[in-house]
Amino acid sequence: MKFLNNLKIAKKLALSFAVLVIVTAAMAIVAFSSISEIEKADENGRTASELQTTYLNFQKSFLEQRQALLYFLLTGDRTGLAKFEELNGTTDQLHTELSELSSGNETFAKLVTNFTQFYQQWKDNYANVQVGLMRNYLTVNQARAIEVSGEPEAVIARMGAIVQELGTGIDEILSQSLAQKSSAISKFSVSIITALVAMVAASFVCGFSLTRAIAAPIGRMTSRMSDLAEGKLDTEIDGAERRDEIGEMARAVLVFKENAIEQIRLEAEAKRTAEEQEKREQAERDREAKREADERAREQAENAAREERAEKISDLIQTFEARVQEVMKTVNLATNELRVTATSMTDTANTSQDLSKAVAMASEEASANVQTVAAAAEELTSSINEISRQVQQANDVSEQAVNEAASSTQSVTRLAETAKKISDVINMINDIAGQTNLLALNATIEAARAGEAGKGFAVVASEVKSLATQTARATEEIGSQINDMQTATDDAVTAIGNIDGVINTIRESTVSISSAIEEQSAATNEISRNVQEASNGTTEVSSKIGEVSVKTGETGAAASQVLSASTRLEELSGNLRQDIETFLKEVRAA
Amino acid sequence: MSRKFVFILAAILSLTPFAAISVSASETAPSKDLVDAGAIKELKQWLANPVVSLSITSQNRKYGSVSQKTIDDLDTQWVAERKDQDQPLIAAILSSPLSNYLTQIQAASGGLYAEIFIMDANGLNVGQSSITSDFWQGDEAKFQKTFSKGLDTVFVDEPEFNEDTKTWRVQVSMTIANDKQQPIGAITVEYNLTELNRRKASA
Repeated sequence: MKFLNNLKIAKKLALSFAVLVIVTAAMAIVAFSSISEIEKADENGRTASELQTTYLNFQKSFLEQRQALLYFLLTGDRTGLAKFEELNGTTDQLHTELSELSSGNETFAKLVTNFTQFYQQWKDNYANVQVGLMRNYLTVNQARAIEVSGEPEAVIARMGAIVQELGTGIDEILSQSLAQKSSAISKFSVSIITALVAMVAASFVCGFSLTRAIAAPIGRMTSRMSDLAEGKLDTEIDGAERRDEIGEMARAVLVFKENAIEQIRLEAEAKRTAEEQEKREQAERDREAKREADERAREQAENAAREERAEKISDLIQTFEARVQEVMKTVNLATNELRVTATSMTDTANTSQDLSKAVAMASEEASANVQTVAAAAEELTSSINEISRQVQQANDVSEQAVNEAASSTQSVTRLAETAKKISDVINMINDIAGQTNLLALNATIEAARAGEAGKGFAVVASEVKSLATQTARATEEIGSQINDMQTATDDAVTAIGNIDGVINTIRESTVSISSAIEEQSAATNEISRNVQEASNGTTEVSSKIGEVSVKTGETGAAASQVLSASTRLEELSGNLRQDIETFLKEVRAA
Repeated sequence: MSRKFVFILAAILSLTPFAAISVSASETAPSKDLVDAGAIKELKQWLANPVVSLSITSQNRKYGSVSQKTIDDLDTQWVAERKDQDQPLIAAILSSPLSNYLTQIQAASGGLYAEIFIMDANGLNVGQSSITSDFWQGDEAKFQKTFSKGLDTVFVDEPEFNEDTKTWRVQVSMTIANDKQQPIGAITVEYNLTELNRRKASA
């Protein structure tokens, strides 16, 4: 039965018919052999019968001939002789026929040959001699004496014995052929009945096997398929291990069933993923807000402390610092948002890619399963909308970043100008210190001239001189510090310029993302339309999904670009912040 | 049996007085020398007919190896048949082709041959022109002095006078041979010696 299950239906049918054909052929062979046996027996019987007829005719003719001779011997009446001679021809003719007929049978041929010998002997040695002697009355007695001598009779007796043997042989052949015929007929009947029984049995077995191997499993399969169509997915599909069409059918139905389950699972997963995404974003936003608040508080405290420590240049620095801090915060915020957006984009792109892969797989696995594709397309559309929204947001943010960068540049330029003014003030202070030093020198000289009275003044002058020297040194240090600051601000300007460039790149990227999204959207619409309009366009769906995959890959790449750009921006703004902090620390330290 | 015996005795008695009378009543018997070589030659001529040897040979084949008892029985049967209506043995012998032939020869002899009979190797009759008193001649001189003596033996018995015909008779017996010169049987020809004598005298 297992062997039968693994055969193709065509082969099953062929096997069944082959069995019937073999049985029929066997029946035909046996029947033909029986018929040929019957024919052979008939042929033998016919030959024997013909031989018998001829031999009986011969015997009759011979006896009549002999009777005629005896009549002639007894009476000398020539009518007897005439009859003898007339019958002589007939007897000879029959004798020739007998020889010919018996030539097929070795025994008969031998018997007839012996018989011929005696027949000839009788004719030549006795009958013809007697006839010759009877022609003259003087030799009549001799002719009769030959008869009386018993010699012709002896020869005839021997002929008779042979004829008897021949008759027995013929009878034997006749009965043999009859027996052969009846046995062949009974064999024929038995074989026909046996073959018919075998054929009926084979038909029953074949019918039963085919019903069990084809009809029953197909019936079961139909009911299973109906169950699946009604949505009973826990239906057990059996027969998948079979290697025939039923097995293929079972496996196909199994694929349908798995796809349906997979579809349900995918829907659930997609829903869960969306919820998680929403939750994560919310958490991220909360954390960010908290962190910002903390930082703001900390920085306010720092600012307060710094105000206390450096009151001299606090106004300028405070302004500068506040501006820079604000810019940096903004940049930082923008960068973070960029990163988050990029990450979200990447995730979304990955999710889209995964989904499109899953959809592609699903569409490849089951062409009929268009619902999955439709769902995936819907999923995709919403994802694309999400991406679109995110990209728009990124665009807005980068716009803002550009504006902030421009205002940062202005602030830093103003800072540089302020630093220059400080330098002028320092030069002035330096000049004042030099004059103070000269004044101290003059005071020292005047004190020396005053002698003892100027002794105390000399001390004051020396103090002033020392202060002037200190002032000069301090201004020198401030100058160098200002130079450093100018260098730092130049760096900041360059950095901001770089940021500007980066943000422009981001904008370009977002523009290309936008166009990609438009394309994607169009493609998705096309897919949705195709899915809704034509269920036979699964191959097209596959290709479109391939396009979607490519576009999603592009989206992923763009997102990666955004991510790397934002990382670079973050790095640069970190550098700027560090530089500014260093600068401020040094200014404060001063 | 006693009845049969009486008949035989009566037959013998009836024949005996004739013989005695013939002998006594005859004047002088013609010489048996009348049966000369010429007569024997003539006799042999008609004996050469194949019917003779053919018939003797076939009877020799038939009775060739029978016992003396059978021969005696056959002889007894013959004697008995002579007085019976049904005569299987006698009729067969007397109607045989050889008997016909001998009758024809006798008829053609114009009274020269009074009786002719031919015996087989046992001395049993094969063919005869007229009925004989017995079937077996083996105990008689006509057979014993011919067949047993070999070829070319001719035995001429003493002449006897026949009262009925008033003629002298003589029985001439001789051995018969086949083509291979082997003795197969014997012949006894009863000559009418008176007629022979008359023919010789008138010749």
